[in-house]
Amino acid sequence: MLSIQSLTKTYPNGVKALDELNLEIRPGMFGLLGPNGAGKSSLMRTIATLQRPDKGNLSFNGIDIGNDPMSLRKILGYLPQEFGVYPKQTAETLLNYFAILKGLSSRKERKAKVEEVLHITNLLDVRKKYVSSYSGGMRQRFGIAQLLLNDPRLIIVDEPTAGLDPEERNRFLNVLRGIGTENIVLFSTHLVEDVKELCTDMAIMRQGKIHKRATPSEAIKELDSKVWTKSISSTELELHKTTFRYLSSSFNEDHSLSVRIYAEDRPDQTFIKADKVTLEDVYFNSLGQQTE
Amino acid sequence: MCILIPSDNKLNNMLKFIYSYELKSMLKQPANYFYAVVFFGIALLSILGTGGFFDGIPETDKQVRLLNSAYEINFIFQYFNKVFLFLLPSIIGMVIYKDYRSNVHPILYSYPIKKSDYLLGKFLSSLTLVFLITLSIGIAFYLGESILGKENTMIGKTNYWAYVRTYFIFVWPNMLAYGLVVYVVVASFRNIYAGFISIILLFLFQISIENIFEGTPVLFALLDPFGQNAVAYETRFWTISDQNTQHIPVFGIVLWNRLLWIILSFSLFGLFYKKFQMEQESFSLFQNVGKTKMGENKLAKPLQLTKPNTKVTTDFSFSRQLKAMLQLSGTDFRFIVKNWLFYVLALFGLFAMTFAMSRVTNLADMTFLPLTRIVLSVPMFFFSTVIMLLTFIYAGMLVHRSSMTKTNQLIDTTATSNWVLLGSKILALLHVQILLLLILMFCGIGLQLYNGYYHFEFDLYLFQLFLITFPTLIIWATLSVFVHNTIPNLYLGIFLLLLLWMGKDQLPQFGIETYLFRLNSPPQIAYSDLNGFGHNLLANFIINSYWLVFSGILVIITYLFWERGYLYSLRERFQKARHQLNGYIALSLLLLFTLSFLLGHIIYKEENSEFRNVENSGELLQEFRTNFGKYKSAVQPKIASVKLNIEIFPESNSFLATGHYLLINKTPESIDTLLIKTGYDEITQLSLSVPSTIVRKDNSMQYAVHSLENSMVSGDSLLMHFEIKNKPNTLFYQNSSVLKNGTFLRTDILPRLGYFFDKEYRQPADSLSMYSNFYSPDADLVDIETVISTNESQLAIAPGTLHKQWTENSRNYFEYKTEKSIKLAFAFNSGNFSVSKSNHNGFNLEIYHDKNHTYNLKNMTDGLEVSLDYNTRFFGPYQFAEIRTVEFPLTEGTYATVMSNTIPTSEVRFVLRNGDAKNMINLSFYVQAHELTHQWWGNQIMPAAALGAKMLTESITEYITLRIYEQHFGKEKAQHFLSLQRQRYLKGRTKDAGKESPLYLVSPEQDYIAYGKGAMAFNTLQYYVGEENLNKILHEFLMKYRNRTDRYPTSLDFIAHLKYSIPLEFHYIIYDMMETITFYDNKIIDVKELSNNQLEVTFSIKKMESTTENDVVATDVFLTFGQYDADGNLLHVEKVKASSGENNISFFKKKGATSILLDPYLHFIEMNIENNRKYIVKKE
Repeated sequence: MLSIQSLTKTYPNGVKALDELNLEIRPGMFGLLGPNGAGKSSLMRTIATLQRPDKGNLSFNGIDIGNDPMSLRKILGYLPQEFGVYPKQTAETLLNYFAILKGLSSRKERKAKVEEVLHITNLLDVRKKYVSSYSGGMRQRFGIAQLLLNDPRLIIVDEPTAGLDPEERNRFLNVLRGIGTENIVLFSTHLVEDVKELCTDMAIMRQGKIHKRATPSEAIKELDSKVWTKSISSTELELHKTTFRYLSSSFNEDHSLSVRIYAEDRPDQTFIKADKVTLEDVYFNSLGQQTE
Repeated sequence: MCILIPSDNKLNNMLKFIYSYELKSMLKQPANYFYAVVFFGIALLSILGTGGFFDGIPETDKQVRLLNSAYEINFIFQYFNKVFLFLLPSIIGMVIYKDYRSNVHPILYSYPIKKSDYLLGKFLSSLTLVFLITLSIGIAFYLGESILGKENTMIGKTNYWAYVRTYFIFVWPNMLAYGLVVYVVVASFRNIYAGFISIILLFLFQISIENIFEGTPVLFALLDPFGQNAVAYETRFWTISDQNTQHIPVFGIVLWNRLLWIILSFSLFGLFYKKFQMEQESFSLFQNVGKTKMGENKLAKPLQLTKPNTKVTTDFSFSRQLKAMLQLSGTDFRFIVKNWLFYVLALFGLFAMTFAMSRVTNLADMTFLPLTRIVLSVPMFFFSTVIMLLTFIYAGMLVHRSSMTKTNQLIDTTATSNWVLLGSKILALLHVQILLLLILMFCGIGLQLYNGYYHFEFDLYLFQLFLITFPTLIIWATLSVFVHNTIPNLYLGIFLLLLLWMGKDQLPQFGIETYLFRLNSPPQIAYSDLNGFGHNLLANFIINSYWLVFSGILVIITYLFWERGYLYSLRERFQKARHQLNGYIALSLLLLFTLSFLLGHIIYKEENSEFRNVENSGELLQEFRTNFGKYKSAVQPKIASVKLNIEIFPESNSFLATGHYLLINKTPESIDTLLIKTGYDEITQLSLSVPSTIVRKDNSMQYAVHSLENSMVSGDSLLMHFEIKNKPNTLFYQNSSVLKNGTFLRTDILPRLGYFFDKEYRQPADSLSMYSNFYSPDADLVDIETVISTNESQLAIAPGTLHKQWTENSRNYFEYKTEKSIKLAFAFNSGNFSVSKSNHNGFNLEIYHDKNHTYNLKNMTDGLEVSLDYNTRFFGPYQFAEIRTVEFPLTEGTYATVMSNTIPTSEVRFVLRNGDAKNMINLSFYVQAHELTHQWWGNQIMPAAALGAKMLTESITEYITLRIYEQHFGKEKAQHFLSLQRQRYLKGRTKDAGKESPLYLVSPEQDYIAYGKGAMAFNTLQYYVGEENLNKILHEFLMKYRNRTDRYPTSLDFIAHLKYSIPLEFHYIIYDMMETITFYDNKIIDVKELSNNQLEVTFSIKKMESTTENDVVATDVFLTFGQYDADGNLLHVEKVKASSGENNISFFKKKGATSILLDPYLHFIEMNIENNRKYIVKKE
């Protein structure tokens, strides 16, 4: 279990990225949702031992991460939001390099493991190509391949689907799905879809704090019968945003807008109850609460 | 960084916009100010330091080199220029590289920016910045000049034009040309390191051409990328006063050189400009260079879900981590080496080295056999500098590699320890260094093989490369990693390292001379085949160990501060470092500090040892002069005979000498005071056979004034007994001349009489000079008897004939005695010698040499024999029964000399390569022939102690040796040697800080006059007077003064004799070449071929007095014209007479002649002989 207590980090420029944050994560896929700048990456970097918090405790299965980062690193798999690789190196060479760094000292094991992770991430065919020439999706899969090398118990994946096309994103999520059941996979994204498809547990983060903590199904259940929708013209949008607890809107084919709002009861006759509460509703509702 | 597009989108202003945008953003970077401030500081300190701002200018009667002359400004700015070059990648390379690094180029290239605006805007802005930074040294210099002030003797009139010219002709054109090159290289390869490496390649190129075109300096001057040698070429004959007053010539070679490089760099830029595309993927400037292997983005197969099931074990135990470190270092090593940049560099380095090596072994006038020590020593300094520069760059590359490629987050979150990461990088650097050192070694061996030299000394190669050079490189590697880890800015890091490297050698200028603070500067050591690395080896090891321990501390500090993860403040870095500091680390640090303290203590103690060599510093000398000056003209008895017993102990580097002098008062006065100077490096105990007291003493000068109880009346004699032993050697100071092998003790170990501390010589016209021997004021001719002993494996040699030889207590004893009196100049040698013996006309010729140095024994023996024959024929019999040539190690000198019947000859003369080629001098032959000739001219005739003495010894000897050389090797080779004597004279006068003298007043240190001009003067005389006649005249002079001690000859005596003996029409030669400093500038104006197979030659004669450059009239001088065929063979020589101004002459044309050369035999002293040749053109 990963347990985080009153984690705080303020950057020299005054930005408070983490603010007394508390969180407990059990094995399974854990989705961390939040808008840009919510502190997701700061949290993940801190858990991944890349930076030290100003305050707070972090522990994983008895390992005090703050004081003993090395022990965590042995069982950690980390895919940063943005990463590069050495140019003019093939996937195979690079994975072998990372395997050495990850303590796989037996050459035989290394070879087998590298082949396996290439297989899992479906990069076996292109293992002799330079990673620097990979497409975005291939590169993200390579990122997964490297994090798998040491059979990690804690996997941290920071916004991996950003910039992937739908097909690549699917392929990528499939890979993730395959690996994370008995371990903790901490997965940050600003795409609600990702969490919906993948996660067994989730939290919504905002301004350095955990704003909401629930399983996706619980969260959806909470909003059951409280999401209302209505077709409006785009000029009416501002009015609806101020009058109601606005969640989201989408254009219809006739250029009218479908707005979704949250309300305990049906606000008026023009609204009809939404067919199905989505995780997106949960997300926007949660963020909306903050602003009030 | 992104460029904001101006809203009005005025595209024609884009260039201006990019230019000012880039310039502004660069001006916001502190590093650029740092560069400027550092250059300013260094330049200011260096001019103030040299100008004596801190410690005053030493008083000197020598001509002072002005600090702010055009020549000096150019010289110093050229030096800075080389450092400026390293700014180019950091500023000009960076301005384009940053777009690639921050991946902004795809966005940028999609904007409507013209290629020309983009490329030029960026280039010009960064070039402007570089120009601005280079200005800092000009400002510093000008400021320094003003601070020192006009009263300072080293400061002349401020020369604004010199600054302007230096900037506009050298500094800025260089920055422009190589800025373009770096810009093109970085933009083409999208690799900033390529920029640095191209700068190093330029240096390698300069070294290569210097060595390739050693024989044709014009080409070297033309091709020098920095223009430095074009200036050197144009000013090669400038004397110091020329340097102080003249402007650097701009036209001629300098202009061509500048044009060449500007055009080349513009062409490269042009090519680049044509190929450059504003595209995301890099293009290639040349086909197939730098192409990347592209991953094809083919669709992967549909995914089958797989779970990880291969279980792996991770192991971070110490031994596994160690193994990982090695594996990772292998990866880093391959990353550096498996790169075409590295191949190019290694290849260029190899070329440069081969040329540098072959210059000493193949090309030059004085060339050596490719001995291992020579093959190593010549390129060693240069190549280890290149390795060091590469270490600076590659260290930055390795340290910043992961963060630059953003791989760091992946690496930093693995459980691999910092020491593994740090260690792997240091090991990779060392690995690269080892590879380069091995390349050097194989290159050397290859060169030896190529030259047919098979005496491979692998042990010496390995020892020198890996035990002497490699430790300093290790220190540079750790220091580089430390600096780069501490300073996040790669360029600043490289710059700082360069600064440290250059700064460390400047420390002594600021009074810091101790090795304790002079970073990585072990004492230089020289290797002798006889004596190995000798005494300094231990000191070298200890200093290296001291700095190795220091670098150990650096490694630990680097480890503590190793950048891992995100650290946002300095405080955080220190906190983390403290966190890292555990017991083991603290213990190792403590251990290293203790060790460094211990080594430092040893160094400190040795440096301040009581036996350290006290230099004859000006202060001590000054003090001595005030205290002892009154004894300056005290008459002294002369040493008449010497008896010595010398015991040499090679194992302990020591000797013990006992013996006595017989002193005789040869003056008419009585003497009551003896002035005795004993050896500086020796401890001497004296006793006189008559009662005396010491009245005054100066320990640092080893000088004492003894007062005799009863004065010595004229003709009286006394005995002076002495016991001499050497001061012990210290780690850094070698007090004893006794070596493990090849000891060469000289007269300076013995006590001497008189006041020795006035370097002033009398004028030859001074009648007092005629009674004092040039070589030894305290002796005329002496007899010497020596018993010399050494260990049982060595032979020992002393002056005279060997009378007895025996072995006692496992020591070899030799008793030598002179049959005839000799001058007081003794050599005592001991070594493991092989002896090559021969007999020539009843004289024993013995060469004592190192057993491997057999290459030139034949040449040397020939030199002795031919010289013996020639001199005997013209100047009478040789005075001893034997001639002994004895080898001594190069650490004791590189010369040869003659002392009684011995010719001590440096080992460098034994390993010369004496080829048959026209332009190769057989120096082994020449040196022996020369030294033996001194037995007549120097030993039979001893000049008076006056100016011009060396004209009677060296000039005549050089002339005779040239005759001997011509007789043995032919006219052509002798002619080549003469041309070298001309160079020696013309180049020598540019370095003379004093006043140039005419030959008859040559002072003892003006060898360029005594040898170079002297040889030319006598050679010219010989041509017109005739060899037989001139030698006869010389012989008469010799007979008049031979072995005389009552009256020593001066140069004036000689010139009088010469004038008396040769026809009047040749007296002008004596006047021009011996009595005055006269130059000619003769040239052929026109050559007409007349119909009757005659040539009509119009030529001009110009005679100048050099000191004033005044034209003087020449009347009826003899000169010669040579007719040459197309292959350069001399067909015919025409002797004519001419006078100042234009002359006309006709003579028959030889069949096949294509050109006419005025003065083919170099009878005149002319600076410019390039206008002496004219090709014959058929006239209608």
